[in-house]
Amino acid sequence: MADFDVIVVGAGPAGSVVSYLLAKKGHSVLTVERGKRPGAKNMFGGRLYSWSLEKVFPEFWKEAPVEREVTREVLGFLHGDRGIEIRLSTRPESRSFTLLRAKFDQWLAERAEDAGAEVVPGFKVEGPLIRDGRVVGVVAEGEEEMESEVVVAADGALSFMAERAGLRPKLSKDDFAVGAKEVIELPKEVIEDRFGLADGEGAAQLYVGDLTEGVVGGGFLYTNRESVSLGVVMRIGSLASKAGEISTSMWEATERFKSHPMIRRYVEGGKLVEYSAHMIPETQFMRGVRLYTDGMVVVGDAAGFCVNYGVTVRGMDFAIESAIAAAEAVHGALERGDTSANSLGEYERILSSGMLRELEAARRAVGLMEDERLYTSIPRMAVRTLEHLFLVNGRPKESLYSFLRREMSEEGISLISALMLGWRALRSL
Amino acid sequence: MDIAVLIKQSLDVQELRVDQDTGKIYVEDAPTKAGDIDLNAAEEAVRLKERLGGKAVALMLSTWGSSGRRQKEAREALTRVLAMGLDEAVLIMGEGAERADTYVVAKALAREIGNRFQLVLAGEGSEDNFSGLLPARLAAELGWPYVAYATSLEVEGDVATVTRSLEDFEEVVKVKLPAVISVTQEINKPRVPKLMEIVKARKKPMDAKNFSSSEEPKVRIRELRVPKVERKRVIIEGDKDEAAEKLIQALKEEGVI
Ligand SMILES: Cc1cc2nc3c(=O)[nH]c(=O)nc-3n(C[C@H](O)[C@H](O)[C@H](O)COP(=O)(O)OP(=O)(O)OC[C@H]3O[C@@H](n4cnc5c(N)ncnc54)[C@H](O)[C@@H]3O)c2cc1C
Repeated sequence: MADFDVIVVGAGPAGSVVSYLLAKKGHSVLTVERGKRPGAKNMFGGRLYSWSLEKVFPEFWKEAPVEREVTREVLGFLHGDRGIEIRLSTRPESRSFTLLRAKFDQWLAERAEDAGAEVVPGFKVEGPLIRDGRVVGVVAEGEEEMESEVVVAADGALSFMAERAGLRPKLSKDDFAVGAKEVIELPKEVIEDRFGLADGEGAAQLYVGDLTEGVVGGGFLYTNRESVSLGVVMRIGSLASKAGEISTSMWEATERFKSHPMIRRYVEGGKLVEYSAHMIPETQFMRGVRLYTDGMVVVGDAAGFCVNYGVTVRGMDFAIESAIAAAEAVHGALERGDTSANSLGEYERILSSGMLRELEAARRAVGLMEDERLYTSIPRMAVRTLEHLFLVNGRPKESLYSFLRREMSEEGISLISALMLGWRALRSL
Repeated sequence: MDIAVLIKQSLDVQELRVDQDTGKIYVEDAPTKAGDIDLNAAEEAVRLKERLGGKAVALMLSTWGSSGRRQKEAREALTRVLAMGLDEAVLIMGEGAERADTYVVAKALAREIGNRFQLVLAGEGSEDNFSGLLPARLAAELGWPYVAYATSLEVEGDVATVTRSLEDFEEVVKVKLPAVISVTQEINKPRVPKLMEIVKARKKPMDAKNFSSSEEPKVRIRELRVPKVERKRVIIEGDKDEAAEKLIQALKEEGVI
């Protein structure tokens, strides 16, 4: 007899949701989390799209510790000390919320506990317990073996579980981008005043330009209730080849972003209360991950269900959706008394008819954004063109047409390709 | 022999957030856990119990408020010592407990202990306040002898032999039980519970009781503040040998060397 029906490794959003759903079905579930508390060490940019979590907890935002509902989208171009912001005020039918992981992950883990899952923080799982080529449990810190009918690997982007079970190749730094984030505390009224928000409303602001010095990536700002999440995402592969040392250039980019006059006014006088950095799995590598084997399924970031759009990353909603599919498949397999790969393969079949399509579409869009010029030439030209348009200095002005021609030849870009680039970028956002 | 172990819900001082400018300490935000030295007391209780039989019970009177979060943390702290091998836990919490000083806590714990136990073990001081007053006060309330700073402990019949670590020498004391004994971190190395032990510990009896007390605390904490450290900001310049000479001189004047 196994110790548990299901052992879940990791209490991030994927792990907690799968634990909740399976415990609710009456299965015995052990959820092991290496952090001192669920969410203690987890970070992300700042926004959760609600569509998948709503299926599990309708109107969860009324109860869950979300910060603000995003009603303002801002796209910004930065060049030197100048910049453009395009603002969209919106109330989309499908909501999204800013949140802080330490609180939110804990809340989700508590839902799993309330449903009867044993959530044990403070323990690291070393890897899957494999017998006769089959995953039969996990090996926890201190060589402790724990057995279960099914293991769910929800251990995030670096997933040793998936790697040790042979479901994904070993990683290299080119398979990752990296994100750094600061949480800057400010009084609620100051945030609402500076960002022009009403009580409970939030802003999601993305910026591209010379802050990343030609590297694919950019800066983001998300408003929380009483703090602002400010950070930078950069593609490690290109970063390493251009800047050598990753950590310092990451830090410098964050500083450059934060001290840009347009950004500084949002966070001036605030108190830095948290600094963190995290790996982001890259799309092309993640396509090679297998989702299940005998006795184990992989969910969330561990399965590569994460899309790096260059400046923003999206993965929480996919993590949750994959957890829903995994719970359904694992429940079915346990009911049938057959937890072989063949039986657990139901997981991929459920995903194929839904989420994987959405994910593929998102990945295609990302492919369109790989062009480095989007992060260099386009922001620069946009800023300079608008400057030219608004310039009044008492002298006759060069026509916009000839200005643009000159700019483009300087940038080595044709009007058509500039337009194409801009269009693609907008389409893929 | 039945043993009570005092487990304090202590602020996790490593996670205390402070505002260097104002000196404010964000006590509410800091998580709590079982104090480190309390784990030594728990370990000693488990060892004695394994050898001599009887029950070992964890007692906690939680003084950091009774919010849902604090309750959860208190239970987690107790689960940890239960996973180490204690048999039961009693958690006393509630309105007014956050104002309780060692006087009030000692009274309340003494009522709880009554004559159910022959030995009370505690850490020599708590991890957050470290007043070290409680075991002595409790012994006084119970009318039992108190032996502090144990570095080793043997029990034979109703006599405990305690080695106490003092600055320059060790003292070996024999004491008749019942008694209160506080331990130091040298006494043992607390076992680290395994995952399965944590899971099983959650099913051990944990008795939640409501704090009630008619006593008024004698000490009130008015403010918690970070001490301001003023640096002298002396910069010594000049070539290496000369500067080193001056530095030594300056340190001598300060009485540092
Ligand atoms: C800079 C950055 C910005 C992002 N911005 C956004 C955003 O705005 N919106 C969005 O939707 N997504 C964003 N993401 C992506 C999002 O964070 C992830 O997709 C999401 O967290 C995946 O959830 P998960 O549960 O699969 O993994 P995680 O959240 O990584 O959780 C994994 C959990 O497993 C635990 N764990 C790992 N290994 C072990 C082990 N061996 N034993 C025990 N426990 C273990 C970890 O401690 C962790 O709690 C961002 C990511 C980054 C890095």
